[in-house]
Amino acid sequence: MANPVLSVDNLETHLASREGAIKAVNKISFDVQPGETLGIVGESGSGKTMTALSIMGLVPNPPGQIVGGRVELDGEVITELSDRDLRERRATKMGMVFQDPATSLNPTMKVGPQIAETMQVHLGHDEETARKRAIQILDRVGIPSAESRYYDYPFQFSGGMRQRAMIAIAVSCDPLLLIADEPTTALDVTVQAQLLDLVRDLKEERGTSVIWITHDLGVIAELCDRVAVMYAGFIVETAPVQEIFENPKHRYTSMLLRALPSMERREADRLESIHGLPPHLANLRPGCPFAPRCDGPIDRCSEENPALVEVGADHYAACWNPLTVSSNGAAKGE
Amino acid sequence: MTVSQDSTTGNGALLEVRDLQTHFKTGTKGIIFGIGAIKQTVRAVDGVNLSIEKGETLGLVGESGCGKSTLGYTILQLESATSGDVYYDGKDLTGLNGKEMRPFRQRMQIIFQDPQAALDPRMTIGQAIAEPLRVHGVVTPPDKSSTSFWKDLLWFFLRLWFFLAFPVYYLLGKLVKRSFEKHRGNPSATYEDVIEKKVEELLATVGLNPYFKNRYPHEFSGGQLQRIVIARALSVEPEFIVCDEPISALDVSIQAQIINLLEELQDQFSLTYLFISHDLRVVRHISDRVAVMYLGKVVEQANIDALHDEPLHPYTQALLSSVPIPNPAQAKTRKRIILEGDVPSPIDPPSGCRFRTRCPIAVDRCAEEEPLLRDARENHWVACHLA
Repeated sequence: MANPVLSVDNLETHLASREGAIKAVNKISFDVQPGETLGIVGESGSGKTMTALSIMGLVPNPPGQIVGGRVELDGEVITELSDRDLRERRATKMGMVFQDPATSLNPTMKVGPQIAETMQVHLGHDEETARKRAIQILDRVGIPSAESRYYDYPFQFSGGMRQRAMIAIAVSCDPLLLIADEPTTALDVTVQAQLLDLVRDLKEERGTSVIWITHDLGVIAELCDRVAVMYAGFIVETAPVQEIFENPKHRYTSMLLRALPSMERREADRLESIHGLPPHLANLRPGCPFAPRCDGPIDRCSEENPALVEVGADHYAACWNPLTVSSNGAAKGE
Repeated sequence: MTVSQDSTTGNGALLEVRDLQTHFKTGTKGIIFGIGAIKQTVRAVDGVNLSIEKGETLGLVGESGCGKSTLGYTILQLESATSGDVYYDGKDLTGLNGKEMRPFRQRMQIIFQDPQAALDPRMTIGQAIAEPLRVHGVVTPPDKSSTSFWKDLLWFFLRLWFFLAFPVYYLLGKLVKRSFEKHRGNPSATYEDVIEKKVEELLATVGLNPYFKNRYPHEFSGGQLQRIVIARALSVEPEFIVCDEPISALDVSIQAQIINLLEELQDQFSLTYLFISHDLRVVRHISDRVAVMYLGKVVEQANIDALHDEPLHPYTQALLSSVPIPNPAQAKTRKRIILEGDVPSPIDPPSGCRFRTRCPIAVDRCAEEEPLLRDARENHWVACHLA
């Protein structure tokens, strides 16, 4: 296997709060290979966004702090870099797209110059070259009549177009890695389909690796090569996308898949829901964080937190009582 | 289950919407005496016909800004209709004043998207659920006709005199009365007790611990809050509930809980739902029939299975094909129709067919003539020249 673009090793991020440290990211490790799309899926509060921010070095401090582990980007440990160096890496090697395009763009600045500025600062382009390149990129991400829209303000763009502009900024410096944090959650399905298509094309064109964070398993299936399922700040399962959907080992993954309503047929019976609520991250009990909601807990689950172990080819799960092939038949075809 | 276009009311339809329009005035005021004013009209709902039978769930889908929520609000008379009629149980609601509307408010309820915004942060959830009970008099206050103001006043002075003259006997009497009540129970439960019991019952119905009634909304998670909002809607024993994106703000694992709850309640209380959502997977699961809206108009209306098996309108086809399927093998092979551009502004909708600017199969006729909703198949209505 080639050297990974990104390698996260035992990353730990805590947020200070009145009730004690909220353990948002708990010793997670994963690699992203060149050209690979890694999907991180989980519910709100499962630590997906904090993982992304930790990788970018954008954890708001205070209250957040990376308390352990390291992140290696393109063979360089970036968790130990100075702010100034990190800023430079962030621009040229990583691009990030956030959930809400309305708040990520500067409302008082025209859209085009915001893209051009990135390239002027980080690639040293002069104003004219940057403008030309920015128009090219705007055109590439599918903004109609890019030349004239260059001088529009963000409020003149629709939600989908703003997100396209955000993607334009993120890819303007040709990053190795694109981190997208729920970029399509606020958009309509037809616009979401457009954006997924765009990202797929851009990825193929430029060979960019992508980390795609979402709570929608459908989007994961459409776009990703590999999936990491997060729960309560832990990665509980990771496997190639086909494997996760057809042969989930962790009970949370399997229950999550079964809780989705199907598009194919209309079931007469109720959906299989996961009872209860996710745990509060400030005072996690010993044992598996999913144990109180699990459909197959054993005694050991409430005593000891399982580590991520290999359960199949390139398939890792953190579960004391993983599903066997026969028992997850219900998850198939969902 | 028929979609009645020109039928009269009273054919079993609980709710019938006829040619409903809701427009909003917008624009600028002008500098002085209205000089230079720009007057624009947002045609949020622009000629919608629908009917909902008793006990069924009608799904209403469409992208944001297509007018689906406005339609829901107009049905409940939370927005006033610009023209057209809403018949509920045979009675036209559009012309009613507040007082006449009141009995209908009890029969029709709504569940909003954001439960956090739908609950008063300074009321305990018990108070929030009890309020509609009091307002609509679902729990009747105990009979007070036998007492009058003057009688009460006389008794008050008598007690006061007794207390001042024989304080020891007065207090002794109170103690005796209290111990009697403790041992025998209060023979006549008060109004407050009845309400409290009803609130506890409602909380249990939606799967919450009745002891939560003294807590405030900030102490609950999103899914629990949505249960509370559902309990409040149920408190007045409605027949018809508009669910306006009730699960969009919730996590996947919680969504399934709420969908199941809504379905259980429908069976238990034989409710009728208008289920507004942009999530086609959920609509697929919960609805009997579905109406697809685009820019203020219904473009297709059919039985849920018929719509999924054979979508006739090109917009429906595109909408269905852009829903991500949680199945990687299928996701890579299936045919996808990706629409270009965004939804046009409802201030100045395109001429003819409103979808033609994004339609992959539009012809010249689409720009000139507006397609009407017609029955292309049995009980399957579509507004397209080419379908």
